[in-house]
Amino acid sequence: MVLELHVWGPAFGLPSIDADCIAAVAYFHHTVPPPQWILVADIQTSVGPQYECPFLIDGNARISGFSAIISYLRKHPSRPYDIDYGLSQEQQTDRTAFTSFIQTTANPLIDLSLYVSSDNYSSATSSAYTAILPWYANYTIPPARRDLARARTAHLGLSSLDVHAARQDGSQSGSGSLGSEFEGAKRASGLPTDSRLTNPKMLSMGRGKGVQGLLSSPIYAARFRLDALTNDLLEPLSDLLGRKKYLLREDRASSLDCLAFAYLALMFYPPVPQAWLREVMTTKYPRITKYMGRMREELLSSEVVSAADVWFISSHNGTDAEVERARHQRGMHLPWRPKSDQTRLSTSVFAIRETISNLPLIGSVLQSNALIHTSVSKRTRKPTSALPSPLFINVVFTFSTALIAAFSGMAIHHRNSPRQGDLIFRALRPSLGFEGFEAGNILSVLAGPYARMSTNGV
Amino acid sequence: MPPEHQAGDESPGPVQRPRTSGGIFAVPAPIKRLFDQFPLVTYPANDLPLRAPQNRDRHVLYIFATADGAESGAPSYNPACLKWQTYLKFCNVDFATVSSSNHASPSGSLPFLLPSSADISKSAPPVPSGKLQRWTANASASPVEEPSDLRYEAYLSLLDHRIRRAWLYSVYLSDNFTAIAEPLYILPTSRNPLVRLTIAHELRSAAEKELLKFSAVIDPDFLYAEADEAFAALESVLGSDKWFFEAKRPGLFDASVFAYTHLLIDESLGNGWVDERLRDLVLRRKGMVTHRNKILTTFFK
Repeated sequence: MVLELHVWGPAFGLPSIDADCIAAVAYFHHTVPPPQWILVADIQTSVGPQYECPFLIDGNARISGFSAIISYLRKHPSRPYDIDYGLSQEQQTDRTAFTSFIQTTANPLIDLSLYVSSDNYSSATSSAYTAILPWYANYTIPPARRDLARARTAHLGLSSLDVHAARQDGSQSGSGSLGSEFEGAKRASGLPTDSRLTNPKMLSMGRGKGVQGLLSSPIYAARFRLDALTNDLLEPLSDLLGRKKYLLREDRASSLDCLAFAYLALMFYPPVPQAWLREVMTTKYPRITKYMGRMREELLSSEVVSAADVWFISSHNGTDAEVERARHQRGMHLPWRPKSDQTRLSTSVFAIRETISNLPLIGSVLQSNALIHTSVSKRTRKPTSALPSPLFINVVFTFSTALIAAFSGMAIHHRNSPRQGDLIFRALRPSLGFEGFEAGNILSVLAGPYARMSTNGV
Repeated sequence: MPPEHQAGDESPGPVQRPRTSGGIFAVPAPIKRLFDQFPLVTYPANDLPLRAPQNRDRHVLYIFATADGAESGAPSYNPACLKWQTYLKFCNVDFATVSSSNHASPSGSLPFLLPSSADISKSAPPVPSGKLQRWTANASASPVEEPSDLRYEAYLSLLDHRIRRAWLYSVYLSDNFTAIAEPLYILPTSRNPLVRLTIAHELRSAAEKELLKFSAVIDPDFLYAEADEAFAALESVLGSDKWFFEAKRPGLFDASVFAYTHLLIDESLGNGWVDERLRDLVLRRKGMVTHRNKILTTFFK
């Protein structure tokens, strides 16, 4: 049975834009022999995110997530592919701990560097997504992933990176004189400008503000925090690596190496303008950088994956032999294959679904529940809640909605056909009281008590 | 010269006019006489309300706890609060606990500590949980030194992420919600059923949102499997030692572990556990149970 690995498409010369996907590809490339696995560049929809990339299809089994895939392969029925074979008990617990450590410490760094920092996002990440996504998904998926990254890093208090730096600079320097306004207008209309405003960031850096002004500008103030965060990740890793060839042992790579490589590569290789991660890695941790280069050679044969080539393969409609030939012509080592169910109908259905689910209000209604409920077999007792039951709430809610609807209906009706002539109160006899009860005539019932009161008074 | 002369002539006019008429702020004579009739009485100072801070000579830690539990210094039912409560006990800091809620905290989350001050007029600023460790190092006579093990951070991430996520699911999203989260976090806050319902909904959606940050789906089996791996790793790193990382005295790491294991093992938490999957994972690890019992009997008597 061929193992089918679905990942996010390639970016920055790496096999995927997502760290866990890179780790999974590296693991497969290193462990599973080529004819037994294939690689599919997939995209993850925001509708029904049942399977998260990377996910593995093996017959009927579907496993998603890097650690779940690894533990599945370890216990694979036909032939276990275990890269971690021969680890001692202590090394295994270290692997668990450092896997969690890398995922939780490196993820915020990548989020900040590729998604939150507006400079980096607009110049590197969004164009990388354009190369791997169909056109309609470009409007929904990258912004959604960026929002998620913002939410994940909100507690770090580094949202100052998330400013549109270029626009801010432009408006600051443009507020001065008529001439600069003119330049701004020229720039906005796309004409080439000839003043120094064309590169405002280079020239206005620290100008007229002194050293303190320079340090308090967002990127520099954040820089201290960012370096501290980067050190939090790289120092323990550097200590763990020591003088060894791999993180855990001397002679062979482990799954921890795949994961560490994936995260370090996404920190190092993307050509971003604010490259503080790469600077810290090259200046302070040369050993880690060298280790990462070595891992790229060993785990991925140093292949620079081209997004255009992979796009060509995944949209290929030919037979397996044709795909294979196209792959060899382009010198691609990884076993990329086209997506199996790619018909025009399914694409348009997907596009429509994706668009509708991102509309406000409607999207939140259609959003499928992300919570998987599992039944607990040994439940001994059902706890009773002191809160009002959902049934009660629904009854109250329905009742009040009906009431509000009735009143607004009345108001609209009254507005459309306002009463002509004088307002006359009539005393209704009790026996006739409910004969006049009609939808449009409800006002007379409301008027009833007053009428009765007035008759009593008289 | 002429304009200056003019100005010099005119200026005394407007300055002198209010002086002669007494100004608009002066009290008119009849009203002044009327007010002079009333004697000035100074009332004695009111007594302090009963809930006012009584023991300013002790440090006070504000935590999630029942009123009785806070009085007797029982372990808090919130992992974050219990962690710092235990840590302060490890460091031999004398402190009182007060039951509180997130709204009372300057940082928006419990716990926080109000240091004692000899001088009532100038009280020390509250210490949020993020700065408690440094504060303890200064305040304690015998602060605990954290082991400088290179694996420390890595194993801490197991607690702060894997076990925390499983805890969040287990307490807020599983059947335990009605049995544990409801009596502990919701019912004490209000008696109004609508307010209670809103708080319950907010708690659940906050927990769900927190979990969705890290994966697109919340799969309890996966969360529990991750937590099980984490507990196994923690047990094996503890080994046969008394405290984590071969320390002579328990430190912040032991407090962090205890904060989860104690609450999971405690069978009378809230109204008792209903979904016992996470609890069973801890109970199976004998090393963790021993570690928890040791701390409970030594420091919470």
